Amino acid sequence: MNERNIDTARTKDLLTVKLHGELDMRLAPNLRQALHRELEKAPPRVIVDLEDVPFVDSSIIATLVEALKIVRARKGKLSIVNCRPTVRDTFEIARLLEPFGIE
Amino acid sequence: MSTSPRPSEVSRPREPEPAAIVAAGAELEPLAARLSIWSSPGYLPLLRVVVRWACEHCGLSELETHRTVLALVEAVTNIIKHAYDGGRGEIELEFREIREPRRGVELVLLDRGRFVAHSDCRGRDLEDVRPGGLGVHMMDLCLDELHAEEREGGGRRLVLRKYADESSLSAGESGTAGPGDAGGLGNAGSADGPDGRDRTDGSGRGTLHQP
Repeated sequence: MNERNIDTARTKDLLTVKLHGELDMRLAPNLRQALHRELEKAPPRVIVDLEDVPFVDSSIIATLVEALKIVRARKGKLSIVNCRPTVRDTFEIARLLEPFGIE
Repeated sequence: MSTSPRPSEVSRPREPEPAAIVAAGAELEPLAARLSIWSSPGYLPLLRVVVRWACEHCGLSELETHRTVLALVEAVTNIIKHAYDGGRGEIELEFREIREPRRGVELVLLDRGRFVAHSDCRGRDLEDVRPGGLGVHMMDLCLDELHAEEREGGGRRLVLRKYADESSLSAGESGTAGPGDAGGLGNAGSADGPDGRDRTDGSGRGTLHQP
């Protein structure tokens, strides 16, 4: 995961993480590291924007689940927004629409 | 001087133009090709492009194509991580167009790594989401057929099949056709698909459909 794949924006109450590109096992370790770093002092509300992500695999989903657990442990909330239909389908197959608040 | 044609020139049929040969072949022969890569995640984007193209050529819808690509990526990821333990090995991908009894695509993955039976990879609770367990669940749910068998000399032959839904051949997708959202981080449910889905683990020879 490098500057091309992740953008973050932070306010007092909200952390927005915008990811880019096709995400798979090549990027999972770096994404995990980047999310852990961003979540260290994250506000209670976290949004992960997947508008620019046409593909995710199980390694990326597992990384996002880990992030969700970190945020929930702090009584926060993490949501995934702007899923493309195919990416939404991947989360649906994994039965993770509701935990991530994906519509 | 005689100007009549020699017998060999009269009886031999005229050679067809190269373009005509290609066009005739393309109509008659189903798509079949093979690709060989090293067991590196760096090749996953290439595989996605190739398999996407093959699925679209074989008449799969956008959703069916997506699920086939996803299943293929999960399968290759498992080969890289588990069959070759992250080391260097060769992975072959064969893909073949299916025309009977229904249109679809068949993907065959061949490796020479450590054999891991498909059944040994199942059963992870989604509370314990990690790469590998979730990937196998996703493969099961994305594909119509999945067969694994051990290869003579070591390694595995994994056959993945996805058929085009007849309704999607003429109409667009009506939304995701995947499993419903069970809510919460609970079990992914049974890895057995709906009736008619064929799942064979690596304990013996798979019931491969021979062309």
